[in-house]
Amino acid sequence: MSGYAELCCVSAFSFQRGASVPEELVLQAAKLGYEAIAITDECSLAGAVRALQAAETARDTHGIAIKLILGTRLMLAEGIEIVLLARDFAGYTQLCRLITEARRRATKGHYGISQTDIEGRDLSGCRLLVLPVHDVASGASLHTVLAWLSATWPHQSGIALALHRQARDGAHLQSLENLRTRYGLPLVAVGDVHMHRRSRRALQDVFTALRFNTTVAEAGYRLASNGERYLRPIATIKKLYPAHAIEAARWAAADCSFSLRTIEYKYPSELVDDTRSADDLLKKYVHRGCATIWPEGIPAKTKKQIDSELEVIGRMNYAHYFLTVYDIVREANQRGILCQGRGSAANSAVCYCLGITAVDPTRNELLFERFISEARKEPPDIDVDFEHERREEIIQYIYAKYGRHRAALAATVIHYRPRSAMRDVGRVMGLSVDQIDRLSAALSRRSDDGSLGDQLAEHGIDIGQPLLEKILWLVNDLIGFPRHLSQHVGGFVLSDRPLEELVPVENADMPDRTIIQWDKDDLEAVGLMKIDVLALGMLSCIRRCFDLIESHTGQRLSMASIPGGDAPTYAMIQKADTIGVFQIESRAQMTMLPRLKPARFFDLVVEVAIVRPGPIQGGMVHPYLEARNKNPADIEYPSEALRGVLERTLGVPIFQEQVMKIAMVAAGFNGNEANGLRKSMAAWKKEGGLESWRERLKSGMRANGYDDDFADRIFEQIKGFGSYGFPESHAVSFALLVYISAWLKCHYPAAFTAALLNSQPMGFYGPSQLVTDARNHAVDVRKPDVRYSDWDCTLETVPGVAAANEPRPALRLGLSRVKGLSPDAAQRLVAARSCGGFRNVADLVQRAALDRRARDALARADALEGLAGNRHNAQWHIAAARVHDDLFADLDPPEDPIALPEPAEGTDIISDYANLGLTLRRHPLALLRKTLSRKGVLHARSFNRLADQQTAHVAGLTTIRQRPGSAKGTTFVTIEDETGPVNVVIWPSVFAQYRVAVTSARLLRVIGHMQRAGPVTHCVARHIVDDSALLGALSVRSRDFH
Amino acid sequence: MWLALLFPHWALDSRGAMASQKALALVADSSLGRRHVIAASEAVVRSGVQRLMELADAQLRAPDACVLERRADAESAALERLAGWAWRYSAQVHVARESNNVATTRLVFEIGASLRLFGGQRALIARIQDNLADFGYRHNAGIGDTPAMALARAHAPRRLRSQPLARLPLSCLALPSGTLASLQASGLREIGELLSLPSAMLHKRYGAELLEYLDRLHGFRPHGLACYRPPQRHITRHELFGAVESVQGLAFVLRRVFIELGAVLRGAGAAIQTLKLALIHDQAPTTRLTLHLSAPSRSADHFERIAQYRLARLDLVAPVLEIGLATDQLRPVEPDQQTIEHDNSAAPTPGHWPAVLDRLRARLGHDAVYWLHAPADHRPERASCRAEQPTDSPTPSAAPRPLWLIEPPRPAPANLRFISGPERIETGWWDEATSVRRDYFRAVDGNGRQLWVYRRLDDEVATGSNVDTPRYYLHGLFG
Repeated sequence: MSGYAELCCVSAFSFQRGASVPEELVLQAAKLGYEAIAITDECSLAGAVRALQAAETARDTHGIAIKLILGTRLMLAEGIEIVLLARDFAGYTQLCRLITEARRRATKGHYGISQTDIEGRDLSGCRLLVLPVHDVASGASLHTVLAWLSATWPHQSGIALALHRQARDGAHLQSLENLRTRYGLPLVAVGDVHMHRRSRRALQDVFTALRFNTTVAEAGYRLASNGERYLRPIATIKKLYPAHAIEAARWAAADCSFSLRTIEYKYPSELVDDTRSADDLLKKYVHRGCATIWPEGIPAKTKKQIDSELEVIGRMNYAHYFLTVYDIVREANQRGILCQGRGSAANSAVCYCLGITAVDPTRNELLFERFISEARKEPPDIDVDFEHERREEIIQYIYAKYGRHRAALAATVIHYRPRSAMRDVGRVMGLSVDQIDRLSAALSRRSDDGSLGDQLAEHGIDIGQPLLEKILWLVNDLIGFPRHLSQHVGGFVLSDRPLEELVPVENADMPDRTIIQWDKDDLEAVGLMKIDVLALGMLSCIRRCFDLIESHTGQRLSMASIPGGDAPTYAMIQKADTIGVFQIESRAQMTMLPRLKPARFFDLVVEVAIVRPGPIQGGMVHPYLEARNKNPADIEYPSEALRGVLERTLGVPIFQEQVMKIAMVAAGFNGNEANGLRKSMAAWKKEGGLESWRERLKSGMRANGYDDDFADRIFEQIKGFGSYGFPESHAVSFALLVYISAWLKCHYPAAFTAALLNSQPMGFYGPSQLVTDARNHAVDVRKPDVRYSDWDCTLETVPGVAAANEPRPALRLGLSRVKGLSPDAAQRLVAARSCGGFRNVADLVQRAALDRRARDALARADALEGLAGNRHNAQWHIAAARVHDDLFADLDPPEDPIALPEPAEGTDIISDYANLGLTLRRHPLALLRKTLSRKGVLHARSFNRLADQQTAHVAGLTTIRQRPGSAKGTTFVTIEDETGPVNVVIWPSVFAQYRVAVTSARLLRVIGHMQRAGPVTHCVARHIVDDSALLGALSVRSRDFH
Repeated sequence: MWLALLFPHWALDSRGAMASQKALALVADSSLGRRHVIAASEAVVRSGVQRLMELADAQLRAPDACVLERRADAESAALERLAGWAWRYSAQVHVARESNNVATTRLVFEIGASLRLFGGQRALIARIQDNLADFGYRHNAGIGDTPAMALARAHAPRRLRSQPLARLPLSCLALPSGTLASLQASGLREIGELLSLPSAMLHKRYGAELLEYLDRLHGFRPHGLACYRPPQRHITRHELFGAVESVQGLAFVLRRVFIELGAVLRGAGAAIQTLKLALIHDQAPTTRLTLHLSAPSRSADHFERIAQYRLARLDLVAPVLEIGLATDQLRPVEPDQQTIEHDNSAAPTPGHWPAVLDRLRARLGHDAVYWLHAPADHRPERASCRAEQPTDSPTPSAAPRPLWLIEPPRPAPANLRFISGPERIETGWWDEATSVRRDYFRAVDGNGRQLWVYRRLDDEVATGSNVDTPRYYLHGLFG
């Protein structure tokens, strides 16, 4: 017999310790001919699913069978290290519970466990190994542990023998042999493996230095003295270890028969009572929903769809899942929290009937290709967005309903990226903080932007130095490694049995949050279902808008009640008059709208999906725009079969689902393969491996009679999609929010702007731009005023206008706009006012108990004008006001008036910006107009009317700066003067020349030429001047998006 | 009359020549959360960098500038020294900055009394400015009747320097930031506008503090500043009565000098560690000797002994006329130094390392005496080194190591009998020069000596794992 089984092996999921990922370890062990490998990460099973998938890949793709054993190693408080392996399902559950307990009692990223914690425990399903270190083989606590093991679990325990060609290997072996005789426990050979190949040795040292927060050069004896902790060839193992120890390892491995594939996961069942099955209950709710939606009866086509969906749900046993989502959505509705589902399963007729989505599948002529893929055993996928400020209520509801043992968040594995890898490697290699800053600043944030060396060289860094060469080599190794576990944004895992029997649970950063040790890919791979409970600011805004409209008109709107196909709304969208509208307010979207001219709901779906890095890089935008201008009959399709896939998008693949469908229809992929392609699409930049698909796609398409040219084009498009490809199922849900917010902006501009302001920060524009836009739409915006304002922005009736027919309320800015005013102080003010208006500043300060900070904030924001005159006087008066403890104390005698300078218009504007973030007075550039005109600067409006290629000067406050990754280094800046905005395009060469001005100027003067494409205008900058000095102390800050 | 000096770039300028040689330099400080610039060289300032700008922002403007870390201690020490410099112009020197805030680094001193001595205000100011230029300290200066007024002027922008106080911006005054903001928000811009307001109204709004400040500004109230006191270090000159021509004679004179020094030190409860002696000759240039003690001391006997050992190696170039003596900073005495005072030069006992060491070093030369240090390193040749001071060695490697290391290793003799091994040592990859990949063995040679030998793992690879005739190197003897 000549085999070996490795029973002790840490992966990169033992953070800052293991120097290989689980896949590498499992595959290498398989290649070396190991019979089994145990992944025994330190108090963790986070690498378990990835290891399982690697073992299955080894079997299916490489034809090598290797047994995967799951286990963990724990450092006991007594200083003894033990390894536990799962023999069977019971043992696996015991492991999960033990890890959970050890993790839950420590802060995030740590664990704590002692011998006493283990002693009383049922570990009948585990194998236990004690791992004595060299020279500690005689310690007292080691004897205690061994004595306990030989008494309690004599047949499941062993003493792990790890030999690494160290000086005292012989003595170590001898002392363990003595222990073996004394306690009657077998010696078990282990490699105490930290990496799959010895070439990872340097990385192992890097991790050690990181763990001890030192440098490699100073880590001394904390580093391993050699690189022997790798998966060694069996021949080497045989040379080093006594045969009986190797046999004991093989025997122990044979005794472990647990496989992750055997775990049984059940969805919570409390929503179902004994009298009905889950399927029946779901059917009941769906039919109840149908009755409300279609009181006159369900349209035949829809009925068919509902029935077929219900049938699939029944067959796949997913009813519990839909019921759970339904329950959460119902709870949100009862609390008045807006929510909206998205994802393939969400945009189904069933979910429409259940109220999970407001997208009406019958009205929007959409195809649902991917409701639930039966071929793949993937759980259904529903994301539900909630109002961002109230999502926490829903999370608390879930915890309360299912209990903390049965509900936890999924983990997100944070991976090393170029900058974080450079930081950590740089630190342990002894670079100074500034050297590290410089190096990492030169690197892209993404892992897929080409060679790191090239990136550094571009920044003029000499990459020839030996030290930097080594660093780069390590950084390259490190990128993609797991770094730590974090919490998923909102992916909840629910289970019928306590979760910690299925997977270890640990603490998250947030107090009272727990996460499981698996991420969403792991969950999908082992068939655990998760519900994404996400936060979306626009939902808060829409709900607030509904509230405002109701308070003003008495009419309650809902997402479902807003009429579709509204012509004025589409007209507004086509003009790109969309500031504040969900998604289509960005500059890229706005330049697309006049060209795409959305006229129906599906156009919005396309708009949402197309203006994204994926389709833009894939070159799909222009073909689609061209196709829109053609007669539909003139559009050619490569085949009839593909016409079916691409007709809705005029022959251009836009959605992720379409790419999968093309692979299936044209290249004969089955569902699993198509899904594999989708996953590779998402990951290829990180992991590569897309090229193998190219051949399969081409040969498949050739077989179906498509030429290679077309196949190559499709493949390039797939590559372009990269990780950004947008699924139609999400675009549809977003498009609905686009339509609703656009409709609200069109018909209720004051309420919509107020709701946006009350939901800040969100979206693309700051309060200043939103208010300017509202005023351009004839909304009367009024400044914050202690006599009238609430904390939030509110609507006020315009005197003399009948509120009945065409209500055009005014927008009263809230006290929340006043910088430096706390919500508490504002609440006190509003409460005091409700008992009677303020007589004067002293009365205000006294009754609202305003502290110094609140008093100053109100005066400087000019919110006291009604009580104290201009802001100078207001500040002077309120500085003298005091809160008197004794209400009956005599108020201070009146002072003689003094003459303070009146604020100049410029001062007022500057103070408005500084203390409100916006002004309702003139635009500051109006005050500078004379100066600017002398310099030959045009108004923005005049500039935007120039003919193509005409050159001129234009100046404005910078409001938005962008350098999108998809634009190859081009910078977009929006500047704004009193007549409107100008969109400036800055090519990289110009940017390099004016870098400082572009990134820091508040007032930019640009000399450039007009680039006009129909109604879409850009100023292409040639020279740029920082004119901020003209503004003096004006503190309007632009909102930077990078 | 008071002179106020502000040093806006003190964090850089105080670093002296080393820092200012770097034409472009920023000093960064992370105490404000993110890293900010707190001082910059003139060239960097010209490229648009301002104090308190975020470091990243500044680097955009001055990409070539090197970034230095802040050293608050050194800044304080330099400020202390600068105060010592000001001492020569005034007995009333006030030096301060608030909680390490560099922007408030300032020096204020009374110059009215010194005007005559230095030839009038213009001459004095010119002289002070010359000094500061020599030091390389950028500064803003202001003169006023009171320290507060001088400071206000120093804060004024250059173009307003000649204006009367009333026309200076309010921000020149040392007002609490809240008070200043409140006054500015009331529309006030200039100091004169503030001064014209009724004090009752000001009192009501801003309390007594503001009025007291205004009183100090005008000199209606004492300035209340703490005065600087020069640092205590012992610097003396001893004139000899008649030239001393021999070392022995010199020793006799020095004895007196040291006794005096010892008395001073005892009186101050202090000790010193460095002594500089200047032997001033008639014709020849001064002979300078520096005596470093390995620990602070105040024992005259100790000083004398050390000096004697040092003098024994000295050839006098010329007769000595005068002896100068300067100590380093006086430091509070440490109690365990007590024993040295009673040391009657008997045999050294353990714990008297410093005295013995100083004697050995004075006799053998400083570098001839060192400690053996065992750094934690798996590489045998790096696991021991020389150290100037006794060090806390970490626990040495548990692995058996020979007592005698052969450095550099040489080819091992043939006919070895291996008794244990291999021990694989494979580390140091981060440093090409000292990277080690070896298998070590214990072996016995023909003479029965126990040797520590190794073979290189890289040889194995290079020669295609020719295990039959590996090359061995001798690296140590186990005795």
